[in-house]
Amino acid sequence: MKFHLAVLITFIGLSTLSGQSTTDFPRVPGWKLADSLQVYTQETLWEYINGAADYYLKFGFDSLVKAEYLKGDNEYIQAEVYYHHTDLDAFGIYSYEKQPEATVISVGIEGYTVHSVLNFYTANCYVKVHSHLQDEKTRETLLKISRKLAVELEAHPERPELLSLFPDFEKVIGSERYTPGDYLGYSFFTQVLSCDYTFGESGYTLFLVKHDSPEKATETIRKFLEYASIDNMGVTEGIISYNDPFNGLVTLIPEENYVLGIYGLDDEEFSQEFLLQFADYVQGF
Amino acid sequence: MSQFNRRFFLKTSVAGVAGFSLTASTSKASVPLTFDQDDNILTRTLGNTGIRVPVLSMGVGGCDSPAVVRAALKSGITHFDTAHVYQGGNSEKMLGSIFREYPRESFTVATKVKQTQTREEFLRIFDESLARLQLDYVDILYLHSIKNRNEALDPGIMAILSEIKNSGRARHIGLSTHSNEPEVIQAAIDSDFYEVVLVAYNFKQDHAEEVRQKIRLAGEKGIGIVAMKVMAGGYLDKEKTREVNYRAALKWVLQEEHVSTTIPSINNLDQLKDNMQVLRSVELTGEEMNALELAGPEQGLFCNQCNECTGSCGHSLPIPDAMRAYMYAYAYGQTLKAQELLNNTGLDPDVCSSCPVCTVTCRKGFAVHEKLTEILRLQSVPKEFLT
Repeated sequence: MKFHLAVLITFIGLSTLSGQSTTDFPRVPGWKLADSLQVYTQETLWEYINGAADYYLKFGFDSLVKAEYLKGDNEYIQAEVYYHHTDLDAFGIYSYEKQPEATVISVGIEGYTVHSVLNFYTANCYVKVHSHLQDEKTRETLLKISRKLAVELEAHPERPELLSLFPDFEKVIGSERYTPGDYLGYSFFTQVLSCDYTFGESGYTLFLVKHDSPEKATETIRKFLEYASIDNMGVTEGIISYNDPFNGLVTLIPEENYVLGIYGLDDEEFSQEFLLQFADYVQGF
Repeated sequence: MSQFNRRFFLKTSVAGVAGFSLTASTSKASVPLTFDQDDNILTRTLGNTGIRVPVLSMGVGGCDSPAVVRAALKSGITHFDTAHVYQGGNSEKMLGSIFREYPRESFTVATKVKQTQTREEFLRIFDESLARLQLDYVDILYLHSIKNRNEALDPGIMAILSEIKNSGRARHIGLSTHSNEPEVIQAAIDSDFYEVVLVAYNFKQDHAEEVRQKIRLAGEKGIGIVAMKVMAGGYLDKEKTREVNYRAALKWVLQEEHVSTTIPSINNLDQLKDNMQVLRSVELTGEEMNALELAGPEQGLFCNQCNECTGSCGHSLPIPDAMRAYMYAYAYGQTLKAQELLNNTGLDPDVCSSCPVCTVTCRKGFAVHEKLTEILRLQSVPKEFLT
């Protein structure tokens, strides 16, 4: 059977979606897996989660496949697999929605439970398994479904490597975040990883803006300087401190393909020294 | 892998700041950003609620930066829209952490809660929203995402909303809708209960005129109207290469005087600056009017099945059916369903090649020939590749 190239390309695109919509949801005793799955795309996600869709789209959302487990007349468990463009995107939306009071568990790369909700991430997938039932047996079933689904999606998941760029000392455990864009409200801060640290009774945040090349990192520095109205002569090798009226003191330094930054401290000298230490750490990584 | 320098922390935590040197060049600045408000901000009253709102408000569904919210407040935006489900609760939490820095009367906030199976669940969720927002009350509580008259007029849910209002934890009650808008707005009108309607309304809607007429009816009855999804997806084409003129889209909506305010998503400071101009003038410029006229026929993916094209095809092809198949494939990814529909039409994949010129006319300006040729190729794809 012949295909014109354009047709083939078109249907390769559609077939990719096909691969995701055949997610193999596990069967569990006592529960009937509904025959049909529901699939939502970038265009139709709004129909399912309304205005919350905007945020998922920001995290490279590609498609959602949803399954329902039924028991009796009214009891149900829902399993939703959100496919994102990259592993960092899946990590990003997972970590952002993670509740501080949640119990962290080992499912996929990482998961958490709160009430009868179990969310986890693995590879480029963010998975939510939940039920209206609040009993312990149902929670065990959520865990069973999640563990099987995690293996189905990715048998050997690995935590995004870039998260290791943050040093451990005084780190707030579980505070790593990935923000695809608009970090600190700046449109030019895209693909940003961040992590919180304690310092005495206060704290600060280290962040890095990932680029494909040192030139692009330099370009981001220039945009920041333009925004802050700083004369950019010779600053691309040095430290930039800016008293942002809405973010407080923000301090940056370029480091190869990255722009490294810190904010949250009022003291400029502390900020700059911590940032230099961070740059040393990243350099040695 | 090098170790992080712990000695520095120990030194500073014990001895305070010791002298240390920095690298050669450092630059710093403290420059105020130009988000200052003035007295020329346009405001409208939100129906009979008495709330005076700027014509531009802020949807906080996609914004995770407190800086943008603070800049919005500084610029004169005073109304903020969120929901219990936005960002897993982080939207409300972010607003809560900022609002405590401002006098309560200096801003208004709306949140939304979806219908639940029980009264207790609804109240639990709403109280959770209040706790996240760190507020004793919200100005508007919307019943979230209502799709039809029955949902809007459910007596059980109206009783719960009434209970919340009577307790003082919500000053006003509304509902939000982005489907079957005319029916839902009419239900709100008939209810004598809902005070505000948050409705999807934009220049690209097929039924924009019908929505507008319902908006007028509701407005004349004293129901406050807030418009959402005003950017119509943000792009003119499915490839997302041509952006909608945002200011024009906002102003278009605000031409209807009964729309008190709009809640576009504002996710960074540049977007805020761009949108702020609407705070001072809703008059469409010539350039903006042209942008909307150019955008009008660019309807993207959806045929509205008006059947007006049927007689214009020389071969009397079932164009609406083929366009429906196009929508199934490209909008919903349901390629198997699209193929089945095409197979039922009996269309030959090469049917268009016999016509030197396409005579089909579409009042929405769809490129019918192009879309037909594209979707008919689906008939040649084996079923195992389709969903």
